[in-house]
Amino acid sequence: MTASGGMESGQSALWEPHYHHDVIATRTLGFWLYMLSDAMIFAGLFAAYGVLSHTYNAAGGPVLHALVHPWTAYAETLSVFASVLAYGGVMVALKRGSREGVLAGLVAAFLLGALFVGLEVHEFAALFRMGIYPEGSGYLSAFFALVMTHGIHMAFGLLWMATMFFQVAAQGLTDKTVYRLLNLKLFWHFQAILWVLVYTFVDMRGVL
Amino acid sequence: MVNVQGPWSPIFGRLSLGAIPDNPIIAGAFIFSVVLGILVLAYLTYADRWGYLWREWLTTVDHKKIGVMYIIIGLVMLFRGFIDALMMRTQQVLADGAHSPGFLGAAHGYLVPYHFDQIYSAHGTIMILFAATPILVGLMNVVVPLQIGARDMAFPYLNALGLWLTAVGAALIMLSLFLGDFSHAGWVGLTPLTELAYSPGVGTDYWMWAIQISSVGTTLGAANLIATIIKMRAPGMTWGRLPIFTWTALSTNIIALTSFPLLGVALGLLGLDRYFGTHFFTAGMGGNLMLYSDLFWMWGHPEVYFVILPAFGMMSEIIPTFSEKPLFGYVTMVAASFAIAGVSWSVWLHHFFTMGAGPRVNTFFSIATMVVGIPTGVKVFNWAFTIYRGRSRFETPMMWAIGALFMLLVGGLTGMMLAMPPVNYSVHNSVFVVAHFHTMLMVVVYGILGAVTYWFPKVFGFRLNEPLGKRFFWTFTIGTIMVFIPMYTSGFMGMTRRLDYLTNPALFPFEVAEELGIGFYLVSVYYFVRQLYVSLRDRNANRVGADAWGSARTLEWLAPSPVPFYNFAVTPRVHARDELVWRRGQGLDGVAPTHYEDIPMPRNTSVPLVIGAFALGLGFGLVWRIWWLTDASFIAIILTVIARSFVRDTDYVVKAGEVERIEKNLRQRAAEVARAGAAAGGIDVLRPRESSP
Amino acid sequence: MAQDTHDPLQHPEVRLVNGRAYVAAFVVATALMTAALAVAMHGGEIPHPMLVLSGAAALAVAVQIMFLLQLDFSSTQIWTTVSFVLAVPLFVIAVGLSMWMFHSLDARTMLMSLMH
Repeated sequence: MTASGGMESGQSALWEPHYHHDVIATRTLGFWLYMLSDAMIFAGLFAAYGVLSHTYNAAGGPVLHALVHPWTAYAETLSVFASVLAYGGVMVALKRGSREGVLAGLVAAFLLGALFVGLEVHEFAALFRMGIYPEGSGYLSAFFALVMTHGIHMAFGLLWMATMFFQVAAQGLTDKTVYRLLNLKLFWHFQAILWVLVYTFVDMRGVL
Repeated sequence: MVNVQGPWSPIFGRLSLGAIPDNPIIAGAFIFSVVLGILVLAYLTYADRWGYLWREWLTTVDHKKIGVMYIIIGLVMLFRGFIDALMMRTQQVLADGAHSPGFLGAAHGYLVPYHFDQIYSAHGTIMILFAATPILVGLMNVVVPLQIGARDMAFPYLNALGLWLTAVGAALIMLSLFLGDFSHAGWVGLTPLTELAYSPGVGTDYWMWAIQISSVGTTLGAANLIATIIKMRAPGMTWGRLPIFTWTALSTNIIALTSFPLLGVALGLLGLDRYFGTHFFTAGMGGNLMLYSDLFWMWGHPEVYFVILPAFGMMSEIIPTFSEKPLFGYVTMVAASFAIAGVSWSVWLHHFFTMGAGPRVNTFFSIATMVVGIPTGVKVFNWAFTIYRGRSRFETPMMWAIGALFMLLVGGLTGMMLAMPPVNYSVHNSVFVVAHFHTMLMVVVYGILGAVTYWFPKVFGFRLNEPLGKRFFWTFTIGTIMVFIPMYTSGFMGMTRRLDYLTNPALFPFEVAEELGIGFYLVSVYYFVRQLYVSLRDRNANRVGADAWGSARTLEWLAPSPVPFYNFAVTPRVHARDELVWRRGQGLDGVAPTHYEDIPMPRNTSVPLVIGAFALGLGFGLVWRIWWLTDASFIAIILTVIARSFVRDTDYVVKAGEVERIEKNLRQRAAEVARAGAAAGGIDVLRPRESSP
Repeated sequence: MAQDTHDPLQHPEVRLVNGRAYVAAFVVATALMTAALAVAMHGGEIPHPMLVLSGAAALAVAVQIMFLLQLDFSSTQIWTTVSFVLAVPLFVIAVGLSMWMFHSLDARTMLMSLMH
C-alpha cells in the first residue's frame, strides 16, 4: 500500500507505541468477577435453604433449633474475623514491602482459619454422633449443603494460604505473588462476608 | 455414599463389558466414528502433522486459535445434534397411528421408547450447551479482542483451560453413545425422574457431569471476557465507541458469569441426591422436586439470552456492513441489550407457570416476560432502519442476518403468546412450545452461520464460496419453514412433546411435512460441507486484504487477514465508533506504523490440556463410580494448578525486528491480493472473484 | 501479557491498604455479631427479632465491604464497585423470588403448611 502525503503527521495519532495494560489490576478484577460468580452459588444454596427450611421439609426429623449451638457459632465468627484481621496484617506488611511480615501474617491467618474449620468439623461430628446426617430429610440436606459449602471454601482458602506461604518464601514479592496475595485477600474477605449471612440466617435464626 | 443396583468393583466401578450397547444404529455410529477417527489419525501421521498440531493448536493460548477450536467442537456437536433430530423426526413419521409398523424391536417406528427418550435428551443438551454455547464463545473469543484492539484475552491460560473443559464435556457425551447410555429425562433433567430410584443407570450421570464440567469452563471464560473488555481496550476505545458485538458480548457474559453457578447448584444438589442419598428433589422425605425446576430455570432462562444476545450483536455488525450505512440507534441498541440481560433475571417462572403458584406470582412473571418484547422490538426496528435507504448487498452473511430477523419476528410473537399464563396453561408441554423455542434458537443459528461466513476471512485470509453459501442458506431456510410451521400447527392441535408414538392419525400429514423439511436440512448440510471443501480448494482465488468485504466498519478489519498471532503490530489509537470507516474517510486505512517495538506474548503451555485430561478422568470416574480414579484425578488437578502457579517464566518477547519482518510479508501479500483483484477486472479491488461450485 | 517493569508494591491496590480500617472492621463487625447473639438468645422479648438480626447482618456486611474490600468510586476500585453493585440485586432476586413463589405454592398445595 502506498502512503498518502499526510502520513507522517497522522502516524502518531493512528498508533500508540509502548501501550501497556495494568496487569495486576486486570488480574484482580478478573478474580473479583469470579468471586461474584461464586457468590451466586451461595445465592442458589440460600434459595434452596429458604425453600426447604419449613417444618414439613424435616419429615419429622430435627429442625434448626436442634442443629445449631449459639456459642460454637459465636466462636466460629470470632475466629473468621480474627483471621481476616491477621490477613490485614499480611496486606500492611505487603505495603511496607516486608516479606517476613507477609509470611508471619499468613501463618497467623492460616492458624485462625484452621481454628474455624476445626470448630465446624467438631460441630458436625457432634451432629453425626447424634445420628443427624444430610440424608435425614430435605431440611437437613439444605442445612448441611449450605454450611458445608462455606466450610469447604474456607478449607480451600487455607490450602491457598499455605501455597502462598511457600511461594512468597521462595520467590519473594514479585508481580505474580503480589496479585495472588491481592486475590487471596478478596477471597478471604468474601468468605467472612458470607459467614455473616450464614451466621445470621442459619445459626442465629436457629437459636431464636 | 449410596449403594447402586447391579455389580460394582473397586477397580472398574460399574463399568463392565455389558456397558457396550448392542444396537445396530449405535453400532453404525460407532463404525462411522472409528473409521473417521482412523482416517484423521492416519492423515496426521502420514503428513507428519503431530508436532504442528501440538505446537500450534493443542498447547496454544492464542485467542483466535482457541476460538476456532471452540467453533470446531461446536460444529461437530451441531452435526451430532442434527443426526439426533433426524432420528426423532423419522421415528415420529413412522410411529403414527395404531397400525404403524415396528422395526428393530420397537412396537412402532424403529426406536424403542427408552432409546427415543435418550435421543431427545441428547439433542437438547448438545444443541444448547455443546453446539450453540461453544460456537458463540468461540466467535466472541476470536472477534472481541480484535474489535477492542487488544493483543489477547486478559487471561490467555484460563482461556485455554475453558476450551479444554468444554471439550471434556463434549467428549463425555460422545462417550455415552458407545459406553453405557445417556439421560432419558429430557435436556432439563426432570425431577424426580432423574433421581437414582427412577434412573438407576449411568445415563443421568453422564448428562450431569458433562454439563457440570463444561459449565465451569464457560464461567471462567465469562470472567475472562468481561475483564478483557473492561481492562484491555485500546486507547481511544471509549464505551461510546465500543462495537455493538463487543457490547453484546459484555452483556451476555455478565449473564453467563452470574447464571452458570446456579446451574452448578441445581446439578450439584441433584448429584448429592444421586451419590449421597440426600433429599433435595425427592418426592418424599421433605424434598421439593419443583425446587430443581426453580434452580435450573434460574440459569436456564438467562442462558436463553446468553445465546441470543451475541446473535443480536452479530446481526448488528453484519447488517450495517452490507447496508454500507452506520447502525441506526447505537445507544438504544446498547440499552436494549442490557435491558434484555437485566429482565432475563426475573422471568424464569414462565417455564413452569403450571407449577401451581398463585395468580400474583404468575402475573409478575408474565408481565416481566412481556417486558422483554420492548427492547427486542427496539432492536428489530433499529435493524430495519439500518437497512432502509442503505446500499444493501445480499451477500451470504447478509442473507443469514435477514433470515435471523424473520425468525426473531416469528419466535418473538409466539413468545408473547406463551407469556400469557392462560395460553401457556393450554399449550404447556405441547410441540407449540417446542416450535417456539426452536424458532428462537434459529435466530442464534442464523446469526452464527452469518457470523462464521462474515469473520471467516479475518481468521483464515480467504472467503467462503458465495454461490454454495447461498444454496446452503436457501435449503436450510426451506427446511426450517417445513419443519417448524407444521410443528406450530400440530402443537395447536394438541400434540404433546417427547412422543415416541402418535395416537392421532390426523397428525400424520404434519409429520410428513416435517420429515421432508429435515430432508432439506440434510441437503443443506451437504452444501455446507461442500462450501467448506470448495472454499479451501480454491483458497488462492479467494484471498482477501484486511477488509474482506470492502465495506466493513469496525477495528478488527484494520488488522491483516489472516491476523498475525500478536493481532496488531502496534496498538491502534481509536478515533470513532466505526474506526475503519473513519480511517477510510481520511484516506488513512492503508497507513501502517513506521516503527515497531518488542511485543511481550504469553508462552504456549500444555497445562490446560493436562488439566482437561484429569477432568475427563474425574468425570468418567464419577459417572462409573470408580472412586480411585475420581480421587486421583481431583488431587492431580489441584496439584497441577499449584505447580503451575510456581512457574515464573510464562511470557516471552517478540523482537521488534521480527515483528517488522512479519508485517512486511503480510503487506506484500495484501498487495498481491489487491493486484490479483484488479487484474480480474473488479471495480472493488478487494472484492475477490467467485469460483464455480 | 505485558509485564509491568515497575515495582508491584507501588501498585495502587497495594497502596490503598489501611491497617486502621482492618481494626475498625474487626471491632464493628464483632460488636454487631455479639449484639446479634444477644438478640437471638433473648428473642422472645423483642418485637421483630429476625428483622433486627437482618439489620445487624446488613450493617456488618456493609462495614466489611467498606473497610475490608474498600469499595469506592476511585479510579482504582470503580469496576470492582460497579460489578458488585450489579451482582447484589441478582443475589436478592435469586433468593427472594424463589422464596416468594414457593411460599405461594406451598400455601396452595401443602396441607401441612396450614398447621404451621
